[in-house]
Amino acid sequence: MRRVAIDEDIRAFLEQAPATVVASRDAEMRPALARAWGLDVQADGSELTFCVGVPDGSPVQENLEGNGAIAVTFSRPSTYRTVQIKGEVLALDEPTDEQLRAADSHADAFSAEVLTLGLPADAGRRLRGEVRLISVRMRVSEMFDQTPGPGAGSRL
Amino acid sequence: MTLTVPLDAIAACLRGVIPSPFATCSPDGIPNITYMSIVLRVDSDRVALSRQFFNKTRANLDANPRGQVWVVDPDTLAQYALDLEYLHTEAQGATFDAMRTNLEAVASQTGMAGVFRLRGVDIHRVLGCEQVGGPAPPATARTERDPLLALDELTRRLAAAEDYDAATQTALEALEDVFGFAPSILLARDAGADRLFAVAGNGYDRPAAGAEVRLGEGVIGTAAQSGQVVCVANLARSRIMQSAVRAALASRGAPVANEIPLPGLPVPASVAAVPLAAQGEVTGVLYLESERAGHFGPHNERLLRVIGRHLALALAGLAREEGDPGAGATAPPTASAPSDVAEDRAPVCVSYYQADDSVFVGDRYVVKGAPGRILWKLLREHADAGRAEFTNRELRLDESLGLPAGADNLEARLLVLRKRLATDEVPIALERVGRGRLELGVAGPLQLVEVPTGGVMSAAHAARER
Repeated sequence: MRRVAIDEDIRAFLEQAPATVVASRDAEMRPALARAWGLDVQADGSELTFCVGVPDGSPVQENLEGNGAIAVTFSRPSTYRTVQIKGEVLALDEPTDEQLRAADSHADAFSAEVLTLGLPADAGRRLRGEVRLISVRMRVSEMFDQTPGPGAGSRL
Repeated sequence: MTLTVPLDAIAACLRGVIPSPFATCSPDGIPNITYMSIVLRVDSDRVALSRQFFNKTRANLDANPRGQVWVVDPDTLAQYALDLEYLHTEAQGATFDAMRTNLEAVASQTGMAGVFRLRGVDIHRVLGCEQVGGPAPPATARTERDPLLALDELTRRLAAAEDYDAATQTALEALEDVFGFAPSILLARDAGADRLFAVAGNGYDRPAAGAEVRLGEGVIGTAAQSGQVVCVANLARSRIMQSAVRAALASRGAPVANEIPLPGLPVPASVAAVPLAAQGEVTGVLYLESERAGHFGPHNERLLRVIGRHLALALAGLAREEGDPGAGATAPPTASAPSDVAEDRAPVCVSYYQADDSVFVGDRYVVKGAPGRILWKLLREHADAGRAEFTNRELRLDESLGLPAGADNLEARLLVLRKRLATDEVPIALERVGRGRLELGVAGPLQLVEVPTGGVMSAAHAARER
């Protein structure tokens, strides 16, 4: 199996505060979404860590603990560049203070990004909401370009 | 089934202002996410999503119909999770047509016609609808008036308009006062030339009259050609998305067209183009712009359709009356007294170019096309026979003007002509002096020059006019 890793180009893209959405699924293959904040790519690009918002009643934490299947989509509102990474959960933890600060920074940078699109100045914080965050570390197995257009869905 | 949050309560989320992440899952348990431009409400427990680029989503849904989509309220950013079950795909019908017209209109506007082909709309049953997280921050107050009251007021004002000219202005002003729909442009269809021309505008710094749009081009031309209301909830987002596709196409060496400028605001956030349909034909387009994203969308399409139909009927009725004004306007045309023209005043030099029927006063361009031909006829008769008063009826019956029989839109053309003369501050005035009657005033002796055209230009012109 070919080794898939986040390269410098995608690493730089992930630093631009893209909208980040996680998909999980339960044992009956029912998908459930969540928003993620504070992206951190491991040095060799094979792993990715972030905080996932798990509001009350969300099945996402249980799903990730139960089967580990995860997909994450990163999309930059000002350019529509979109990347999807699929893989498996390696660890779920309580986030560290540093991770929580990174999540805040991500939300604020996202707000700045979408301000020109007519959204409120605190858009990022509002989307993050006052929900509990968990830290998720995942292995990168597959990467796809999902920027709208004829190349959408192609493997990276 | 009763949803925790009824779809009607989240109408603001279903306008297509903020993209919606949509998750599916393959039969072997690998989740997948795509972004949907819009989630359309079909009825109280079904929604429609577009099928465009993403094959993985389709394969997943065919094998496992369960999905989840998140929609966001653009005012409060409250998020709602909709658990879905894929039912079937439609490639025709009202939902499909509405979504296709909108997609194609935006694509055409941004020079991407033919690239965005809607393959179908996926209809999903909504199994659950819950707000994500705690209660949202207080919603921005939405004071939407009872649409029936508002329509009552709009139609009352329109019914009081005495002629075509007044009705166009009354309509646009009432749309602003009653619905907050401004700025706006009213365009009439030029049946002979497959284009629309603006007859009135409201809320712009510069006059809109005379601006032209080709049939089938951009949101306005698409609305006219399809007869469907086109709403773009978030034009900035649509532009960004289409730029992304444009860049992808260009990198593959595919030819891409230029973006078509809109006639109004430099950067509108949300626009709507409403066909004016009467007697089975689209006679014009009401074009609305807003600086607020989400101002126009699926939530007010029905209202816009009703406004469009009513406006079309009102204008068609007034146009008919002016063409057949009764005894008062059939009096023989009067010749103006020679003393009207002061010979000691500076001459008014007017040039007419056959190539495109354009008329210049001095070196100032005034008008072209059918209004240009009309102006040239009036000026010639004024110069030759001293006539100052004319009737709509004689213009309508004058074959040399080449107005299409039965669909000449004469009132709209005259309106454009009068406005162009008024706004360009040329020494020629054309005034309505009664129903179906016009008076031409010229502030000096006329010097008329007709510039003939032959050969290639003439043929090209004739082809374009057809």
